[in-house]
Amino acid sequence: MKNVIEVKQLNKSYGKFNAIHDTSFTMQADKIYGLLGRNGAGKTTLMKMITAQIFPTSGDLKVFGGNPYENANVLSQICFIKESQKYPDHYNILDVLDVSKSIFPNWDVDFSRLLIEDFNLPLKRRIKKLSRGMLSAVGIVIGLASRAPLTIFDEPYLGLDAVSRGLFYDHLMEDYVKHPRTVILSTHLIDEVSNLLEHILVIDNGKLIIDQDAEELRGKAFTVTGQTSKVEAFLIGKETVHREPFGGLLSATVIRNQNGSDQKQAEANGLEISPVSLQQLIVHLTSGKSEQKGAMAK
Amino acid sequence: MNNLIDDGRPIFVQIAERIEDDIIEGGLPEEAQVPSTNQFAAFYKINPATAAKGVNLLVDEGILYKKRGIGMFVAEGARTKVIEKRKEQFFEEYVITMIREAEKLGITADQLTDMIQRGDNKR
Amino acid sequence: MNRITGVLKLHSRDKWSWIYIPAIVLFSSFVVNLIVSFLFMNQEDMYTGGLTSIVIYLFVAGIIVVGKTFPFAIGMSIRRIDYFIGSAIIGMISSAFFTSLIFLFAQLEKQTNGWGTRLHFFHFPYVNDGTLLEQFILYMILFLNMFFLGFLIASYSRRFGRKGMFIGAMAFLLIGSIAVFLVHHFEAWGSIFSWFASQTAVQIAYWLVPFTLLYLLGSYRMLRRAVI
Repeated sequence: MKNVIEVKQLNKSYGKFNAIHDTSFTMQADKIYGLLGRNGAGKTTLMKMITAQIFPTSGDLKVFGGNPYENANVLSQICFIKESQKYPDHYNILDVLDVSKSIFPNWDVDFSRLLIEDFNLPLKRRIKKLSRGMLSAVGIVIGLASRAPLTIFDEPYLGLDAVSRGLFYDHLMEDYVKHPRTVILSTHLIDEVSNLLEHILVIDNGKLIIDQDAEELRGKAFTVTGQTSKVEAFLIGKETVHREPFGGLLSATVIRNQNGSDQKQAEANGLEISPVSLQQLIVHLTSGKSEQKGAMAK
Repeated sequence: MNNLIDDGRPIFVQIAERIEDDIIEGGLPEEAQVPSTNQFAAFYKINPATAAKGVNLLVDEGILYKKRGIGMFVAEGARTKVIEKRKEQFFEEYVITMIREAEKLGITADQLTDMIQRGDNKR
Repeated sequence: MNRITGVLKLHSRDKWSWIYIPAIVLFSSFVVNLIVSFLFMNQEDMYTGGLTSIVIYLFVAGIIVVGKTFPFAIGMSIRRIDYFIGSAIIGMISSAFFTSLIFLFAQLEKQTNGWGTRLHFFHFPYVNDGTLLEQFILYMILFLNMFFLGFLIASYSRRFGRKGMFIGAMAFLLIGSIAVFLVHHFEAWGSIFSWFASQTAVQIAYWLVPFTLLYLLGSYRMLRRAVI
């Protein structure tokens, strides 16, 4: 399959601070990627480099086979909606739509109208006077209606209520099925989007710690609960990502081994097994408390 | 966000199970057309690639088959196949677990058989 | 090319900044001066500096346009060069528009003998001494020069931030002081003034052309490496 993004040993540092550290990965065409991690982990920095808004300190970066910097062929295929997107002060929503139409080659006017209606956006209102949620909705409309072969949403729903977020996911999936494209969703609301994702990258402190198929990741870990001594005995030689004592009990999240024999072993030992959601797993891996940080990076 | 899917297990496995359930319960008789992956994706709010993975799992097992350009259909003998598979799973998931728990509580095999009999009468 | 039209569109959406506000500034100043000249009508010519408002406005427009639109444009996947070219074209269009306007009113002012009140708002001795073409060129160069000077300063600020602005201002002051000191030291003031006196208005304007081109080149160099 065609690679849309190829990143090799990418670094970005501000003085002594490494915002992105030695990161390598590829992204394939027409998949939905989740770029997950805590706030300040380096997600936005990474996406800004991919879209040539800022420059890498070192490393190799290819988007649609070329360097995105000042590359018309590459940039015309990208739409990057970020939380902090700036609009000219005097613009109203209609202005933004009209300009977007002349900038993005695949812009769909009818689709943009439909979205504007669904999100209840006042066309004539100035951007400056929009609520935070409406501003986010404007970004979402641009991102969806641009139908860019590489569409990036960076925390696109600040201030949006659950209904509008649902609307966003519905439209995204519906349109994605009709017009497949590469989508990157960067967020910390993992639970909400995890079902939509095909592949997941997790960044923590500027480092890529997970780069895996979402489905593989979903069954990757499980939690065992039982008497502390029994659980401790079970944990020997296993990758533990989280442990939580509770009275005489211990609850521990471990990475499943290849053939799943360890779950059977736990059951045989009379330990309680419970599934681990993606959100929980990623929280454990990025919480900074686990002793096995980066256990899954390989 | 969606109660139909639980997040702790691979979704494609859950999709395959849903289709199997439908086949067992008669909702999808043999030779019936299965919804497209896009329909699955829209209904369960999941990635179409994931839905496709679930469907393909059943194709590999010979439960569904592909008609080129038309779609997916339930194969002949699919129901029997699925039930056989489920019986095996039933043994693994319920019977073994039950015996293990019974052991813990000191229930003998005879007592267990009695209990099953009693449960059956109660239905 | 397609993207440059996008940038033009992006700017043209802001008719207030490019047309309405400067027109209001210019004509309100003109109207006030006209009223004053009516009230104090006498046999003497009345000169005003009202026209400088538009010159300064173009300088300010060059400064604010970058801050207003650069982050938006780059955020919309526009190349820096396309943004630069599109913005420069808009600056030129705006300059040409106001040049034409002023040119037209200068001729009217001349024909009507200063609107009947001997007011000099658009038409001045020395400045309007040359041929019609020269008068046109003079304003065009002046406006472009002011716009791109503002554009350069804003681009520099985009590229190097607040710290860079401070260092830049300091360097400018230092070089300026040294230059003034040297001129003073070599007692060159006289020859500088006589050089200016020997030049016609349009000749002085021609001397601004290389500076304007330098501003253009400079702003492009800055924006190329500017981030958002």
